[in-house]
Amino acid sequence: MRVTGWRAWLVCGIFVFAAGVAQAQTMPSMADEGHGYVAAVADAAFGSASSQSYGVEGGYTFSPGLQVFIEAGRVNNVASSAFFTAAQTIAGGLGQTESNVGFSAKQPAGFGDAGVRYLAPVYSTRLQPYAQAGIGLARVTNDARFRINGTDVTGSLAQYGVQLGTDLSGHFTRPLLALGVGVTYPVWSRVIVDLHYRYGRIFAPDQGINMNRAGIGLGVSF
Amino acid sequence: MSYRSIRTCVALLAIAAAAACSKSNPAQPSGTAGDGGALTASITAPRPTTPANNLAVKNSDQPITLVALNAVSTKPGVAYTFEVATDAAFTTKVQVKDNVAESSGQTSVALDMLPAAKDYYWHVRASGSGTTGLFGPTFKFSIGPAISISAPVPAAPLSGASTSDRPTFAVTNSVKGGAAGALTYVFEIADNAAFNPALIAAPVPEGPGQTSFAPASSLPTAKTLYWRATAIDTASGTSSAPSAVQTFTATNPLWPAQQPPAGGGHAVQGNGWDKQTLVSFNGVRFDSPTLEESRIFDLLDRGLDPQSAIDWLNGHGYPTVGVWYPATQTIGFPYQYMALINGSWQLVLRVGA
Repeated sequence: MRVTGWRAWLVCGIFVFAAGVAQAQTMPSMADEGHGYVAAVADAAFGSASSQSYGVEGGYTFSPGLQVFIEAGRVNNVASSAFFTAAQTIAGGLGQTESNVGFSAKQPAGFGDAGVRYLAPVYSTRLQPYAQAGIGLARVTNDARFRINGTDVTGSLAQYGVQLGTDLSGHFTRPLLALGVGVTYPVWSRVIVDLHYRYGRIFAPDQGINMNRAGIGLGVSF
Repeated sequence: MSYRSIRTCVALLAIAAAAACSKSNPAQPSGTAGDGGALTASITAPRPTTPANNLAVKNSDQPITLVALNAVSTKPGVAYTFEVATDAAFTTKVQVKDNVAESSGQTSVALDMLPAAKDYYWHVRASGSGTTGLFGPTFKFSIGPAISISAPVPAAPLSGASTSDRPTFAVTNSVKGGAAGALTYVFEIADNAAFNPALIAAPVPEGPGQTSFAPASSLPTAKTLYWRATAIDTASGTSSAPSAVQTFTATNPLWPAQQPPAGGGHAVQGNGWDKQTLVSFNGVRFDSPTLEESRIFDLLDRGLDPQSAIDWLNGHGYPTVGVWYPATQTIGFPYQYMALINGSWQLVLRVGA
């Protein structure tokens, strides 16, 4: 099964909605053993490039104060400075023979990882701070595009004598180290809000890619 | 919450993860995914510059050096491949120069000798860091017909000769082969064996059998001089090898032996000094001015007075019959006399004995 584009988010939405309805009961502490959560997250992504990130995550408490979690998402652009520079270099080469050359350089990345979340003990508050660490995989797409006089010529670069390498085309899948901190708050019944920061390191060929995300999650606990 | 529900949640998360990671890629122009090893470079095609497209190259200008503007690469370590073919499709390659190291700005390679009288096509590509680039534009050049010209053979003056200060240089014409046209011979005269610099480098059209050249100005005297000649087919630009270098010594015809004292610019010639053949009052034909008249004037010009000039000639191996007449300010000779009139020396033909 291959789910792409908006269908992915629809699946996530349905999942979150179904889980919330089916498991709607009195709100427990997220640290309670045997309980878990699912959430949809939306982040601002930053680093060499600024963009947006969307995803889903879920966790299950297997021991007091500890959860296993799994998350998946997509960052619209994690382009490193090296990737941008490479695209700029080729655009410069094109500019030696063509006029009005433009380019864009994006590296969208899909990722998935799993790990352990530590729930810090709290007293007299419903705020639940946590820290987490996980490992997974990230699939990065090299999306460099070139324009001449406003026309996208990326698909016909050969006629301009340009041979793109894998530094500017194709995609690669590499290990991901994901670290994060955040705080959850039960806003209503089983509905929780998660404010968080995530750092990811994609062990890309040649040069690693840093992936920073900060945003909010909305989910349900069960 | 049941374990069944947990498994359902985990499964749905897995599906979502798969969906996020499997978003279709935009169209890729080339290359493959770099899931293993280092990323490969992106490279633009180098651009040919020299020889310019459609240039006609003289066969004598071989070997040809191909020059291309460097490719642009996202990674260092680019090498070049130059291909030369006799057809634009490069099905018949005659030379391939592979793995040519990049130079700053432009990269060049010298070709081996190519057969003459043919058209050739060439292009160049760059490769490096795992990527073989594309060939750039194809340029064409043509090599002219093969022409051979033997070196001219010196005829005169030969080595060791002593000549006047304006000798005539002559060579036996070169032997031409192929499609050589009319030849021009460049005579070079120098006071150094390297001909650097040359005193004279004069082109002369080919003559019948021999070609000769006479300098329009006097050569340096009393020193060893060198000369050679080179035949050139001006149409093709093909040159012969230079002739064998000959040495000679030029001498002043006025003073082939003893040299008079230095100096000059003191005497002025008036009328009668044009070179001409005259007939004396008693019917003798002679060339005017005579050698001794010219010598005396040269000594006057060097600052000697008339009697001293006559004495110097007689005392240094240049006997003269000239007589100085101070009363009339004239120097008498058998058929002419030199007269100092209004500050200039006029040469006058005698009308009687």
